[in-house]
Amino acid sequence: MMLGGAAFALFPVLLPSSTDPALSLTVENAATGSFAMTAALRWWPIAFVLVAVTFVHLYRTFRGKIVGGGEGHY
Amino acid sequence: MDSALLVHRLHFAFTVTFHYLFPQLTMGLAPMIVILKLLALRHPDARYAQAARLLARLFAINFVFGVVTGIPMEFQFGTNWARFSKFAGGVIGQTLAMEGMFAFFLESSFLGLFLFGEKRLSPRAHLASAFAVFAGSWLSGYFIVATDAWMQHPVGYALAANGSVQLSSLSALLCNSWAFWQYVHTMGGALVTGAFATAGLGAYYLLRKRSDDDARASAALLRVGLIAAGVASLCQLFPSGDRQGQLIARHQPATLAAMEGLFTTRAGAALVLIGQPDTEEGRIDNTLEVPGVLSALTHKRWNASVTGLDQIPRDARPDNVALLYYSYHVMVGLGTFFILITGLALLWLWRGRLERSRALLWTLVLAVPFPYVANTAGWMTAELGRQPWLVYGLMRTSAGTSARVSAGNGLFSLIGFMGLYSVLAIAFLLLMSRVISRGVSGDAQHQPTTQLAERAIDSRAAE
Amino acid sequence: MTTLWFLLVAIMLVAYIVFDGFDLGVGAIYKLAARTPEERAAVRRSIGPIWDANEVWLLAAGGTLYFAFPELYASSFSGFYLPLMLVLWLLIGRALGLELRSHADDPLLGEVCDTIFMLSSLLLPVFLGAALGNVIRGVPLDGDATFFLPLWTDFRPGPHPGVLDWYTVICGVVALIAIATHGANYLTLRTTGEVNRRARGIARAGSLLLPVGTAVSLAATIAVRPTVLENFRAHPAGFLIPAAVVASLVVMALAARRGRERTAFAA
Repeated sequence: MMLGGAAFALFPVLLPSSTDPALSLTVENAATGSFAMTAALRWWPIAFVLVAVTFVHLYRTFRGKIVGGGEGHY
Repeated sequence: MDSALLVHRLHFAFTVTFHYLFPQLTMGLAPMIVILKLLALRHPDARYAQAARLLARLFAINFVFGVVTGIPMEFQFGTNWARFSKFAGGVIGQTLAMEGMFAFFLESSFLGLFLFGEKRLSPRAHLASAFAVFAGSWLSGYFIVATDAWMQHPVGYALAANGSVQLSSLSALLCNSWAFWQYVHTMGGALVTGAFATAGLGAYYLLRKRSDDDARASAALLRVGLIAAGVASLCQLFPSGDRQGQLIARHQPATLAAMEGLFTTRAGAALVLIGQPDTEEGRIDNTLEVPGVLSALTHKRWNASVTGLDQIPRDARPDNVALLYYSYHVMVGLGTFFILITGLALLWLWRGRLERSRALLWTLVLAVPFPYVANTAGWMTAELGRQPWLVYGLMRTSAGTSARVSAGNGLFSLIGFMGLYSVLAIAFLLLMSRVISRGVSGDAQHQPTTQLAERAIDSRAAE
Repeated sequence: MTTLWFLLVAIMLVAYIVFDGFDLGVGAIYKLAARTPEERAAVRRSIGPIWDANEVWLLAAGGTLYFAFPELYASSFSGFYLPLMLVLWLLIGRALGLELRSHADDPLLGEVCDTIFMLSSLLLPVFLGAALGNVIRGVPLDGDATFFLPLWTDFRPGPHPGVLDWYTVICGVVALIAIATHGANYLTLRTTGEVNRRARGIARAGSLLLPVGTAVSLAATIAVRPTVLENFRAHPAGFLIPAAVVASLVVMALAARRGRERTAFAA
């Protein structure tokens, strides 16, 4: 949440310059080419969905309280 | 070479060489496990399943070390090679991001399922999870190789106004002709590592003859590993090694000349088998050569002219010809040895005498470290051969480092990594030897022995 | 398009903090929450299967950052060279401490692993928070858009700052409190008995400390970089974010008191 606030506050500057504000890195001057950005939109969302699904599954498998006490793995 | 450049090169070289020791076993063992599980489905007795389980225990430990040493690699493009990242990030950022998103998640999430789901999944489902881990690891292998292939043979890019390269075609990047054969050859190398490890394990257990070692499971390990090792070693020579050589001959003539120690251009060039290159004098001392073979291999004609280093301007030659020459010859020498030893062992296996031949079994056990050497030598050949270029023809290595990171700072972190990795190496060897010494059946109480083991306890508890 | 990718990168980073945050938090309070070997084992098991997957978010976020904003990636990673190397070593230390622990038959070796695990997990949020502080405070970028910061100079965020100055240290400490509280909340969800009780206590303390810390860091931020408020003034809708922060802090504190573990964790 706080990270989001910071991101919002700084935007579009990504990394401000303390010597000369004009030299700051912004979203524009630090970005990659527009072709690359558009190209990535073809596969990135698919990957992200896969990631989200596997994560949800992983967490659901391991929810619940830990059964106390060791079981010989230590 | 100025000291900062040297430090940054050593920094990357050291960390990536150490890191790659682990993924090559990961990618090599994964298909072994799949094969053993397939065999287990078709044969009722437990030997294949036991063999697969042993490999899985080793796989789990190896995997964690691979991940832990792999994280610094992604960071290092930025920390030590910032100018390179600024220049080429627009292109290789794609493949690296793909690796991070797709392959890692696939491996990590199915790994737990595979390692501990055996009792809860049907044999087929368990095999499927093993296959998913194999596919994930080989997929991340492709993206990394595609990245290096682009550096060796840039495609699909356009020069941007600010001096960087930008992506112009994603399909060109992913289907780089260099990438295909480099991938096959790299994966083949990993397979050699995994197969020799498998065969070596089987041979070790057969030699050890402990009462609680299942002899049939050990024999299964030996057989499956040996056949895979034989096939993989042969394919490394032909077609993948040969095809890689052809690509180098066509697109990187300076590299070929240096690799082969060809100082002077000549027709009907001989293949040097052994010999020490003397770069100052421009010759090789005490050689053993086979006349005409180099021309035949590279240009398909006995009297074809092969470009020597004399025709390459000094600043376009690899900066360490001798090391490149040795890396290449060590790799090929070992590769030849692998073909010979697997050939001999397979012949003995066919005649039913392998399990009683202590000499051959010992050789197989002692051979286990050598694929690691060969793989490392191979990568050194590729990367030293690419010099003086970082991106072939587009950016020199000397222009790619982080300009603002001094040699002193680089040395600080290099020493830190060396110390940390020494500890990791000892921990790894201790852990692996513990698992191996417990034998094929393993101690029933100490099944896969990493934190991933917790999944078994807790997933059962959650039921 | 660039804005879109900025958002996506931010989402990835937030995901990393949320997920790896709680297992780092668990590690940070490890010895506080668990005293006996069984308790420690239980705590380790609570994050055992998932810490590795959580950490992959870091790689995915880094990869996405590299591809979308290569100049930022190159500049910031080489400029923050020293702290990044330390972060890498701490990540390795955390992983090693945790994974080796299950193999440590010798209790002394177990202690060593535990300590490495806890220290690494504790220092990582401090560095991550300090990193954010550095980004806000600004760095001496030159005409080449490069910079290099030593770890510290005189601890003042003036024209020659180090990575650590009083402002970034505040950010680091606040981050540690936040992440430790996050981890404690997670433990209350996953454990029972004594560990649960202690974790609850830590969470409660954290949920009170955190608003204080947040207020301090906010004041410090405005002092160090007054322009921070401009975007908020230009887009008043942005005030929703700090409002949400305040709301979640309140919810967390209330939930902790009343033992509503899941709500506390979500906040």
